[in-house]
Amino acid sequence: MSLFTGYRPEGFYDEMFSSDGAPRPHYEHLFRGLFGLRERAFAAKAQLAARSYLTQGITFAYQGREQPFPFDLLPRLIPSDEWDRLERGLVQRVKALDRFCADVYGERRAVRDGVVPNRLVVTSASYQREMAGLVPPGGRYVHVAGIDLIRDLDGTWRVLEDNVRTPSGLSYVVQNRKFMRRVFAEAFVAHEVRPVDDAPYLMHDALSAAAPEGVAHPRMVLLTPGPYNAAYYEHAFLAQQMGIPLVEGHDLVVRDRRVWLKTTSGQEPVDVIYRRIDDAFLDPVAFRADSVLGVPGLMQCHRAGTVALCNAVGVGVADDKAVYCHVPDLIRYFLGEEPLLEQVPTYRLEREEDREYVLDNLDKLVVKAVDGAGGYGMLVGPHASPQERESFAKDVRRNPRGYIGQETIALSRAPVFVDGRFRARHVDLRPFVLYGDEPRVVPGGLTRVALREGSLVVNSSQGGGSKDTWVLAGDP
Amino acid sequence: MMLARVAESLYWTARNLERSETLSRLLEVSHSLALEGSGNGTASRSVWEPVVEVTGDLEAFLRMHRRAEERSVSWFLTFNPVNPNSILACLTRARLNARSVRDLLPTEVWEAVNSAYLDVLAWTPRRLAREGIYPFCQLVRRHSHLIQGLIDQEMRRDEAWQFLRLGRYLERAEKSARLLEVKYHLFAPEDPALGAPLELTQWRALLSSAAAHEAYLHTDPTELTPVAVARFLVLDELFPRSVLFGLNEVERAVSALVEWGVVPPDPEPLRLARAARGMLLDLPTLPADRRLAELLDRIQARCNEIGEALSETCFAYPHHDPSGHDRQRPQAARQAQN
Repeated sequence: MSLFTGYRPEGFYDEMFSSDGAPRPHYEHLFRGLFGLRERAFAAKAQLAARSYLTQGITFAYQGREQPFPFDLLPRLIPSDEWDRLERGLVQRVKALDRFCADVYGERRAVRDGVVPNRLVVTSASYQREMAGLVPPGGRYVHVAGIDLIRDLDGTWRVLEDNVRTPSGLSYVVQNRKFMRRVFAEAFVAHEVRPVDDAPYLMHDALSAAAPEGVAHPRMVLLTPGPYNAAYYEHAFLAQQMGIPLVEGHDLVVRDRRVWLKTTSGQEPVDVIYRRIDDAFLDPVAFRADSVLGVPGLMQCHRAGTVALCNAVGVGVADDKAVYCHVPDLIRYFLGEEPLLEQVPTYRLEREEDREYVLDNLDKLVVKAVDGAGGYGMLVGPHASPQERESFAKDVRRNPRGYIGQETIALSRAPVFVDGRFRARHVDLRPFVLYGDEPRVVPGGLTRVALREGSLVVNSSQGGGSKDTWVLAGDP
Repeated sequence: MMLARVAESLYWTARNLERSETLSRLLEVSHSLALEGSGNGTASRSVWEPVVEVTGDLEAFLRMHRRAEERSVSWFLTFNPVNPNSILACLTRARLNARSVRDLLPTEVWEAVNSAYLDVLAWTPRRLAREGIYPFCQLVRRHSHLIQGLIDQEMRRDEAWQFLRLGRYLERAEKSARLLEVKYHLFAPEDPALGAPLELTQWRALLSSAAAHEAYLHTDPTELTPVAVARFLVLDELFPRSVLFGLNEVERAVSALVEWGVVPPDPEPLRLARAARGMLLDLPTLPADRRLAELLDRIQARCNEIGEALSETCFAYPHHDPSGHDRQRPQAARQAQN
């Protein structure tokens, strides 16, 4: 009996096996290696990995408690030619999203030329009036992006959503690889895997490029909401790996239109802030007065051009899920290119016919809040109860601009080790794009796994797990 | 350059780790002492009450328990949630502090602190009753030694390391003085008949709780008198758990920080540490009797002042509120990390 006994790949696109049950060519080596492995040996490795995640405190808050981030030891493999196509598509997309932000807060050409309705832009909850006419250093808005990709029934890659506010997960990409090397070294045999260890350096470069003009060696900090935030582990990891201080709002102070770091020997100036707190909490003077996480006067410094904020304030207009429908047009408009990545068919619920169609078919569709994230504010119609659908329908009618509808995609599946066997679970992929002078994509990204059988929700804040993702260099 | 908040967290990480180790040692020694020592009736007053007193919470303890005996004191010092200085509470704080500066600590150090916390958390009161206090205390001490070893072997002697050193030795100097003071009261009262070998076991135990018994024997195996023991625990310059050694380390750590410009020149903590050390070095001989108790009292007061001066000169940031993280909690928790 092998670890794959009873594994059923059919019904969805399976990452590892083709429909006739044979492993796909690029999975061949891995499959052969695993076939001879005893359950107990694999389980011991899995346990070792879980224990390491716990003692290292690689955790995520789930239902209010700090949990080790579940990690599945069977890597997800992507052949190099397939990855190259994805990479080009991701670079293209992030460039266009960045140009769109610059346009929204600058000339508004895209709106004037009717590519995106003006109403859609100014009614976006993430639109920041504060930013109108303010050009951040280098004119860059999106420095760090996480683009969620899925594969449908026939294996076609599609963009599910864009994350350009505070995308999370890069630390897990680096750590997953490190633990794979440690506990499952033999899996690497006969594979040439593109390394991901330099991701923090790429991020460092992207942030340095954001520095105010004339600053050759910018002093940078990572601004965290603190240990009670779900992603605090990631903040500490990235700060440590980039060699920049991890700071909280009260570690910073504004004086003479500059931001200063409070140190034991006095104050030191800060040039670039990689912030992991929401726009509204950044500066109690400019935004929410009750914020205890931000720095009073920060926006004034930003306006004076003495400090860069990454990602820029107000970039949420670009990952608003109602703007998503227009991204292919934005790519054509700003870059003069045909979009390389497919999207998921999406309905804008402000349009009456779209809305009626979606509400009539709630049991077949997915509905999401346009500014939702982390798997919150979302209804998976086929899996929801009639009451849940009813209550969502009410919300949609009350605020149609606040929601979109999407076809339910039959997400691809991959084998995941559950209770001593491999079982098929749905997965997605979040690659990371770091945009300094040019966009650079970390090879692979975070493969997220919906651990519950049949579930389509992979978000770590909803109890999802992850896999190491291997982009194979050269032919398998 | 060092963030004031970070300096403070490092300092408290070290203090809390040191405190958990001191507590476990004290608990372990008291257990073995109670086993063979006086019958049940007197063990309460001679063994268990002083243990609680060393930790400084006797009043709180007596509000909850009728009297100090093995079971109640063990529970109080290990897990009792009402005791803000239980071993678990100390490790919880050490971990929280270390976690807030984990970008500065070597990964292995953070991992060791986290493991210590997780392992102690995994012990249940029932297991403590079943397996006895010894394996538990040993676990705590081993973790502490591992953490300390990693700190010393993996870190540059930079600002971060100096703040850890400061926290560890200030805590140790204070606790060594307190340990001695409490025991001294009990076993060598007013009476000048101090040399009496009467309570030999107790004196051995006192040395053991400071992990000093064997070291002491190396210096002076013939004389086990209260005065000689006290002299060793207060004034031995080479023994790492003596009061003087601790104060020396505190002074060196602050001096290094001053030299590097991490803290402003001529800071109050340095002045106080020098004064405390001077107070000990100027003694012609270590006083016996009540004057020793007074001296120990003054040393502890001085240690507290050093701690306060540190908060004012090094950790001060405007409107600093130690419950800051709790206030941040609701907002911090809902920042989207999508």
